[in-house]
Amino acid sequence: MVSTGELEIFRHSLKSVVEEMGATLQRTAYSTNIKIRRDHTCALFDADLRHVAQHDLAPQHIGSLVSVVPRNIGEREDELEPGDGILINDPYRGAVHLPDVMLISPLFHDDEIIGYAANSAHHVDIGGGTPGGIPNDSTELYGEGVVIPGVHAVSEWDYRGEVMDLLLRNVREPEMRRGDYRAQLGANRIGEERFAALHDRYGTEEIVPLLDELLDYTERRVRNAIEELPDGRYEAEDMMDGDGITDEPVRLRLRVEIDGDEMTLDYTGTAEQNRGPLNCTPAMAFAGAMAVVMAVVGEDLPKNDGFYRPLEVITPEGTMVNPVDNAPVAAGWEIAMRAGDLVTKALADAIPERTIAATKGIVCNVAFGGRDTRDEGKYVYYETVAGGFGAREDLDGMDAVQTHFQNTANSPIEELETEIPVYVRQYGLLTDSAGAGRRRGGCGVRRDYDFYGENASFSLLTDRTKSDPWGLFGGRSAAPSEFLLNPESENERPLGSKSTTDLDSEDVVSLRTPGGGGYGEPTEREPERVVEDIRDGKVSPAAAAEEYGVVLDDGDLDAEATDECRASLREEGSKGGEHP
Amino acid sequence: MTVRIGVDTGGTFTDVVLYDAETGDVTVTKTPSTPDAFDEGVLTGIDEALAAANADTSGVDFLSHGTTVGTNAVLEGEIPPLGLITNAGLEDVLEIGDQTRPALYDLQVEKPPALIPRRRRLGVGGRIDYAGEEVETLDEDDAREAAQALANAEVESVVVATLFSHLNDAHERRIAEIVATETDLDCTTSSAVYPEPREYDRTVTTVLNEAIKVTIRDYLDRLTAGIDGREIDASPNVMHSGGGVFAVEQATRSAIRTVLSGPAAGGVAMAAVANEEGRKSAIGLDMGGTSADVSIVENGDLVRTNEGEINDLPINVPLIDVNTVGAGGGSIAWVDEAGGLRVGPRSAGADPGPVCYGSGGAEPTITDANLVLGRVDPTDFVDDPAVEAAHDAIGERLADPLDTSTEEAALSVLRVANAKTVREIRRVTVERGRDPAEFTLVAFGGAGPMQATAIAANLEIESVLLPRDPGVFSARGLLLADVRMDESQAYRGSAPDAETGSVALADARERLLDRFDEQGFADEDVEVEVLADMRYRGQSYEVTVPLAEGEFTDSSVESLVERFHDAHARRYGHAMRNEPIELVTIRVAGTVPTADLDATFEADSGDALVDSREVYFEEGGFVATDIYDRSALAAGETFEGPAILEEASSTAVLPPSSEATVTERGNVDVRL
Repeated sequence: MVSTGELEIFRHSLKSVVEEMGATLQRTAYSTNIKIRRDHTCALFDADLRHVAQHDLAPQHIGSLVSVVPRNIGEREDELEPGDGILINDPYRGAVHLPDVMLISPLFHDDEIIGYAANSAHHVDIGGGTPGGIPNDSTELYGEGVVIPGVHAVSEWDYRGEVMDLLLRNVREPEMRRGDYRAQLGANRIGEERFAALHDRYGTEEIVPLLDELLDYTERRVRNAIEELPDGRYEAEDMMDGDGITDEPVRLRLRVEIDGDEMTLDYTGTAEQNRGPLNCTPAMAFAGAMAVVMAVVGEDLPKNDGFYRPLEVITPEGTMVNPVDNAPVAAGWEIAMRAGDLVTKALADAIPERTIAATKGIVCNVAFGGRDTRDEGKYVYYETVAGGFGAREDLDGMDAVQTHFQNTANSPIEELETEIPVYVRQYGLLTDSAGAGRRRGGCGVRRDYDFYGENASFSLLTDRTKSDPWGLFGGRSAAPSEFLLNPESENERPLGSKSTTDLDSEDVVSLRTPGGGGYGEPTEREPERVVEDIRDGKVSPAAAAEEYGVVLDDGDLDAEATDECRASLREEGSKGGEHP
Repeated sequence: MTVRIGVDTGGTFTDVVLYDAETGDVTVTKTPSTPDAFDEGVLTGIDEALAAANADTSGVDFLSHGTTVGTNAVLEGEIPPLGLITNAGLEDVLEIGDQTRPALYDLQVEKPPALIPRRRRLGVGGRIDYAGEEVETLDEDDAREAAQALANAEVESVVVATLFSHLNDAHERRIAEIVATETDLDCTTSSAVYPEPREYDRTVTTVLNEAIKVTIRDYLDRLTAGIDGREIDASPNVMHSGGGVFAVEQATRSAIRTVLSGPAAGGVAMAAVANEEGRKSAIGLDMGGTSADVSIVENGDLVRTNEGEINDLPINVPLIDVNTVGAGGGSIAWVDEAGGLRVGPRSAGADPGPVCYGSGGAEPTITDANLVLGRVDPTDFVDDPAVEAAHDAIGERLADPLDTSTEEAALSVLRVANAKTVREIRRVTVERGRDPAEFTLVAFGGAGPMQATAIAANLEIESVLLPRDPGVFSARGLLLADVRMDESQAYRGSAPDAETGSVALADARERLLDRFDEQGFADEDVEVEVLADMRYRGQSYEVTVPLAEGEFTDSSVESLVERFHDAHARRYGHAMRNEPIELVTIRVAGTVPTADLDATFEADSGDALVDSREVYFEEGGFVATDIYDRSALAAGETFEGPAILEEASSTAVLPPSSEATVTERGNVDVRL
């Protein structure tokens, strides 16, 4: 039996080990993506390959190391020497997409393996035909970059020269990448130092029962939280745009089953794998759903094996959430994002007061490159764009935010215009993009880029142009995404959600991201709130009358006309607003 | 006689420290704060301190004040109606912010509301480009229409913020002129308030500054009138977040700089103690009732930053870098549903406070645990039943479910709380590439000295400094703070060169010296430090490096570049000596030093060793422990742990096998 309070102290000490790993990786990495956007995570595993601690930063990393480490170390445990390291990014060996490269190091103390340090970092380039590692036209994994299948890349705490040469010859900006790989190694080395110190302090024989108890304790807390949810089988589905190669909508389906203190997330019924990059690995499908499950069962729970024990995720082989035969996976995070929305939709009847309507539901990957006429150099840029958050029982959805597992910041316009030959002409909230409701959804975003360089090429790898973010309990759905070349001109034409377009100088590309769905009947919304939204241009007077039944007279509420209008809207009956 | 007074206003108490420069005597008073009109409490505090010191108002020649009036205005969202004029098409930049949401795993989270609603954010045509060149002329008709519309909307004032105005403010200035011609509205430009890149940061900083300006101005007007009425001939200096003071006019104009000033005075006092005891590297631990603030001194200087946050809004002004941990004396200990002992994040605060205060608190806190272990004097609490209630609360709510003794449960509460603080201190030092064991821990605040030795032991820190008067430490910092002001200037170029640098520096320096001039300081009295924010091309974060020579010349630029590489290597573990470098912003910091305190330290008469009682320690349970009255400990005295040092505002715990010495300055140096 572990003594009083010792467990919590031990938990902080373990957490401190992974935090120091994270701080080291972040401090010594070369690329902005890791240093500032913190697109990395660090974890510790014990000698039995149980996940015992994680530095929780970006939630897209939840579940990735958990699935990779046991699977790839188990078979080679006996061969490992002190200072060894295994490098891996293979989506078909438990990893996610190729840019997330993981390094696993065995940790030795008194010549015995006491555990493993592992970290995952998003590399800005991983080779392949498209800078940045998110091509939208591959039909095979090979087009997306270098696949690292679990290579013995490190000996005696140093990268093996030939492995690194091979890897760096296949990526852009190799010296930057080398810096990031070194930072990953330094993080694991700190992990060994600190975990060994913990063994010195407690003694190895004391640590094992503490780890057992920590995992059991975590499991008890997760089971308690699941137990509080009403039992049942809750289902939801949605259509995604298509894979960019075959342009047909495909089904994503999720069943959430609560049975006592256990939860199952079952993707059975999801479409078969796609030829184009709209596929995700089971680790991505897990992370996408988990970002919402965490919000439901409690974000302060320790992340370790105990957390995952009461959860089961079913991803049928050959579907787009568990593809085979080296199918491409670059658009996989779009599926994971929608999976988060499906969890909130499935649980709507179970926990109506805690769930939300559909969010923008897309990652919205945007990449562009070309020739910079200012210095004759080449440029490449990547960013993601916010949209609406789903309405809640008591709160409107937030306008213009990232959603679910995604919370990355935007690029300041001044930074963007300094770096590349472009003017941002529009960056603002979209009128009438939010789903109407007693609580309305959040507004989507318009962002217009005016290109003045040469040979620019504009790539989208996203979704949601063919289906709407749904409302709940009578709330209306929100506007979908829309991508336009040269908007409001004679040459206006729509762009596909997974497309690459060659631009002429002075072409304008306009992105309009989806809003969030509404919650509850729009005619129950306080008229004063609708008037405020009209004054702020978030809702147009026409939509206010049509959806909310709110009528203005010279800018102020016309109470009488509003009552009449609402009465006739109610008579027509609820028109739309999907009930789960 | 010449008297210096420092007044620190907190939510509950206003602390006053009065220093008589002729005798070296220090007088300390505490008076209740008056949240409805904080100036009343401040004036009462000054009156009481003068009376206690038997001093005359005419002798006061320096008055320094730390206030939370601006902070409260932001926290409570007391924002007057403002208007914004910006680029057409970009009116929502202020509302979108950085597009993130404040909490990741929380479906019910809310973004802070836009400081100016969308209907009062108006766009005008015209564009300045990345190089500061005009590429589209300003549409003056748009500007006139916007000004009229905002006048009709009856805003209190107008903020003008357009793209790249930190490089070329022509459009902003012209719009401001138009507003002045067309309306009677006050108007301010982002290039005047915060001439730095990144449009959202510049806009929100300017808007926040404008929003609290009125509140700060009204408050300081009332305070100044009260001081004048007392015939005190010293106008108040106001503490800012950068750890310096400035005059009332500056505090009003740069109101936002008072917002995160709360922990700054404590930081200044902490650095002063570390320096007077010859410690170049120190960690400050300021623990109060609800949380602990951690600050760092490296090479004798407080670590500063330019990025702060309040209410999920960025505050980009020079700040003392302070990290907050949610563990204070009032943090509540509880056993969760899975049988784990947890401390915080909830706090009993000051009301109802810990169980032993007897004011209705039912849940055991860190203070209650200290009481159960004998570390706090039970006779401090007149209400016997409350002391018993504290025992019972820990017994029933913690010891019983955990199946252990009340004392062991109490000890575990402290160990868990300390583990959290240790983790945070490790994180902030490791992020700077340093090992916490290389630092001295300086502990203050009501609860700091109680936990400091245990926290230090966990971090393998060998020396803990317990400064004198830890309970009014911040007010002491106010007496020590230099007059300090900062200005910045965007660098119009890319690679650093002497010519472009000199132009920008001359501009920034002129503005800085003008501000000192307004306060009556001659140019030659001001020490000017020049700093440059630099980065490798393509990076989106900067490292601030001193231009030690103070002027841009070919050779100083060369050494500036070398210092940047070195600083990057120190902070981030590597340098890229062949990569092109960009200079982004030039900063100038001016200081007029405030005289040091030459405070006499004289112990009270009487025995320092006042008592002995049973105190519970991890090693060996209850042991007889010497209780010292700290005020009677004279310089040079040494004693050994286990021991408790008691004084009016705090209690310090010295574990067994530690040794302590009282220094010449009256600080206690504990060696573990």
